[in-house]
Amino acid sequence: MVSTPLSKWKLAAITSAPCGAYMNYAEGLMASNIPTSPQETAVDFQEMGLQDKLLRKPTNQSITRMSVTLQCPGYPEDTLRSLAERLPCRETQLATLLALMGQPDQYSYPSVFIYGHRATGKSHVVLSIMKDLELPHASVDCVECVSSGLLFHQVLSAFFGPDAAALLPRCPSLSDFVRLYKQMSSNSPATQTRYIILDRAERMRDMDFSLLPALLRLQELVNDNVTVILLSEIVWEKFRPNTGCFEPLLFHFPDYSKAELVQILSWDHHPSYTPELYASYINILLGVFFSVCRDLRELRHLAVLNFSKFCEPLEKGEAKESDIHKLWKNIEPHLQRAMQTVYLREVSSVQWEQQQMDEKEATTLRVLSAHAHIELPYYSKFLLIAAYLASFNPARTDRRFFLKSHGKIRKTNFLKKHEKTSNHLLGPKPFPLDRLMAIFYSVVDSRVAPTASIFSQISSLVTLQLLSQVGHDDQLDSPKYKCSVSLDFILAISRTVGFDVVKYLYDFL
Amino acid sequence: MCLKFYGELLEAQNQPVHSSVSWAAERHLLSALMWTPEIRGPVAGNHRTCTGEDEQAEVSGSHWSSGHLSGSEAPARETVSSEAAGSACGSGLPVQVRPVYCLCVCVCVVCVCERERERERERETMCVSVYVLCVCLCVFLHCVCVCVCVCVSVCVCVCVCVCVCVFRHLLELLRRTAVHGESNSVLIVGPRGSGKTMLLGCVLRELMSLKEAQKNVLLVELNGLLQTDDKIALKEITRQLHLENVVGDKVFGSFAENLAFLLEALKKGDKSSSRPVLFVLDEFDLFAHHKNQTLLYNLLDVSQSAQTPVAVLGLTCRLDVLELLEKRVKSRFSHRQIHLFSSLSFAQYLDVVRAQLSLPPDFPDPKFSDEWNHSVTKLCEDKTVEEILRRNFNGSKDFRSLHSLLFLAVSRVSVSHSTLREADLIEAWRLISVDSKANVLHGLSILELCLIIAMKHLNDTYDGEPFNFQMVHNEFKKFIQRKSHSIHKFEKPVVMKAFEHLLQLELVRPVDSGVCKVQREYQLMRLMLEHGQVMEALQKYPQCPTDVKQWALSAFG
Repeated sequence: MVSTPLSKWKLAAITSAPCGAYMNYAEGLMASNIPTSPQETAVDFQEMGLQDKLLRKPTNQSITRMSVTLQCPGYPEDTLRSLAERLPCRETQLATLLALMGQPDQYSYPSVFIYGHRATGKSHVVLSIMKDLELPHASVDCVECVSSGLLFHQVLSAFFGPDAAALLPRCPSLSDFVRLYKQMSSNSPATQTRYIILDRAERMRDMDFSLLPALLRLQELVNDNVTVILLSEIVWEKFRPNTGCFEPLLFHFPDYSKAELVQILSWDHHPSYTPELYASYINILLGVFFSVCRDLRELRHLAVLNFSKFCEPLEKGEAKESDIHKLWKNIEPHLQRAMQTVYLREVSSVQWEQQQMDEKEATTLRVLSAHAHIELPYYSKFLLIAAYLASFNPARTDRRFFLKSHGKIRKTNFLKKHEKTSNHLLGPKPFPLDRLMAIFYSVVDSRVAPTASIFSQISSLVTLQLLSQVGHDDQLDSPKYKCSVSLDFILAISRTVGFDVVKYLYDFL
Repeated sequence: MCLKFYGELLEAQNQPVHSSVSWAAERHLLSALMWTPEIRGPVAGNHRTCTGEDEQAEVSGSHWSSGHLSGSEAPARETVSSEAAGSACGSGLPVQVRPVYCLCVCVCVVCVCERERERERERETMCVSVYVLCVCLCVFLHCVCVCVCVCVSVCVCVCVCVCVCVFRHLLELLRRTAVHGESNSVLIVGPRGSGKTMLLGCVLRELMSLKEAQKNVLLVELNGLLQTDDKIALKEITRQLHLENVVGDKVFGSFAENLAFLLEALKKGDKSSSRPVLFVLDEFDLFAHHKNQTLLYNLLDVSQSAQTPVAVLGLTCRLDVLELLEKRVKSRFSHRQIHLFSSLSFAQYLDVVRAQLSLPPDFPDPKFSDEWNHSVTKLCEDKTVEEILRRNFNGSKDFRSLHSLLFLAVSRVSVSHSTLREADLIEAWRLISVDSKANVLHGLSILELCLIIAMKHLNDTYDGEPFNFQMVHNEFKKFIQRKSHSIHKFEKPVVMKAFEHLLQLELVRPVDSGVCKVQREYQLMRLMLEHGQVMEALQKYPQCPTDVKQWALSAFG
């Protein structure tokens, strides 16, 4: 497993994202060898009445595909061949990109926008081309660039060396960058097209508003043979500024089909088992995960994590390699559990592996999510339950639920629901403190005095973000709250105190 | 202009012709499609060898224009609008050809330059004759009102005529500043890709080749994208006027003081006259967002008062740009606007395509160039190709979108098939015209697709009201319970993760409402897809289960 140099920065930047820490690891996996696959771009062309002509297209393309790859004058042929071998399933994209780039000394299109889903090989293909063909390029990940100055610094130092980048003033503006670039490129004009590759370009929208439009027409601004390549998951329409800008050339990296995923994932089979066994394992894995996730990195990670479990019966001698059904029965529930835990990052990969070890000793260990075991004081639990009821029940129904003699309210009348949707779809409503306390006194068994300790528990619930205060903090006399926990959570809480919360919920009557 | 350099270049470098010729041709075309080298003239590498040649051509071209200018007097406050041009050129014709000038200016300059070289002595007479011919044709057309059969040459003539109008108007303005020291301000307004910068570039090159202007005029080029505030802009002005040493570390009280000092520094020794400065403000509308519009105010103020001769040239794509200006700034502007609207007819568009794709007559391998040009002519007559071009034309008339289409097509030419074929253009069109959101939908997992369908149903039932995750999940659960055979039940967190992926792809977008924090599942969202887009994506989706399709088609969830 190779860890990429970008990992450190990425780690810091991504941890907030849902699939944080593990992506670095998976990216490391990817970097070691990424096989990818060709896509039949099945785009229908009905709008044009050209169907008959296009029907011939796929066959035509498949014939020319290999030859096109090897036919790019200006580049060494054997490098191209090895490049095509290293990117076995992205030949079409490789060929098109090379054709767009042209020979190294020729001007290329000022800006190219490449989009496609995560882990479809966008950065990998582009960077492999740059590295293998030894083209002058600056590769910048926009996640790393908290300010545009960092971006300028990286670009200048990649093209003209660190001395040039040191000439930038402390907080460089775009104007400084363009001036320095011009100055430098007049000293050393480009003999080959220079490429600026901006990964995760969607982050650029949050930077200076003029940065993106200016970079798109950088070729014109600096008067040099430079091409900007933007890589992103998001479509171009979301980038376009209000008053428009120079339109880049759009290029799509299609997703992998199931067959291609099998082909790629089968590449890293375990040396001590046959490739066929691994392929069947991959098929089982995809059977579980394919309908949920098509991210190659994620799938590879899951495949590596769970393979030892798959092989367990083989090692113990309980099954043979041909016993696919038996192996399937063994691994399937395990994978289902993986989907609920490790796929959701509720446990880390390390924890998951440890759990697998422990399971051999104590099979009863339940995998619980972090929310399920939160410890609260007795009254806090009731306060939370009361808050939940206050948030999700309409105030007019409180009489019905919490008064012993609630007069004559007809059941049919009461149950007539005027709302189109239940409160559990619309979300919690704010309630005043008085209502919370009233409900609290009626749900809790014993008599409780309204002491300071009760009120301090409310504020600690707010600190724990189980309740949230609505409005300003300075509203001292009648603060309003909202309950922000889920139904599952409140069910678990009420179970611990032996309180049937469902009976008191208007939506479930 | 790089068209003609290429041949000479090939000869000069003695390149082996045959094996690489198709590539050379292709690359030549690609570079012809790239405007940058064209605008800026010889820039780097290849083009550098031809500089001498280029300059010669430029100079002779400039004489031609200046010869004209002395003859005719441009109206001082003329707004060259389409009506004015229309009355000049004949009502029956597609008059709306003005924006073609971004090619035509070049074409006309080049072609006139060519002729210039042949008959250098009779320069003046010839130019006048060309002009008279144009005018005659216009008048003729105006009288006879030829509507249908407008031959190509006439079109070209009219184009030239109209562009020359704008071109000469602008040149005259700048010449007055440069030579006579008159201050001026003008805005060039036109949509993106209509050739504002190119027009200005041609005019400036023309102007700089005038002897009396050359040593006198100073040029300051600012771009709203780069000079994002007035401080940076002032620094850039100082730098471009080469006054860094003069300014040194003086401290100025205000912006106006600083600018006045700069302009003062430009005064000649005799103190009566100072050197004229041309300020070119690209993306003019962005300067209007600067604090107090100080830069604009000061520049326009200088251009109004008789201090230093200054010409302020603004380029913008915003029609309402004057509305952005403050009252005090607006009143100092001369309100001279040049509008460049694209109003090209399809026949002219086709001619442009043909001209762009054809190889020049002096291409080193005449056999290949004949073959190529023949194939291009044939291609342009093809019905399918015409259909594609018409669609592109109907989409947008500007040449940038045409360039990207042709660029993609030409980049598919290789040694094995050395002519441009119909299939190349079809493929290029396919790449250009495909809906990118459909592409993204194609790569979603089944679960994510189901969520999209659920959102579509919610949109249908509640008439586009925003929804939250709970509602989507509820809708999805109903589907699973009632109709689904192929989709299994998923845990809520798994569905949530799929939903968040959609959020990340910006296919759904949170509605910004509410001050306090809302739980993720209750945050209100909107679907960023059309009904049609979802259905179309569903059609193309590989191995889409039938029950999912039926669910999408059913009227109510």
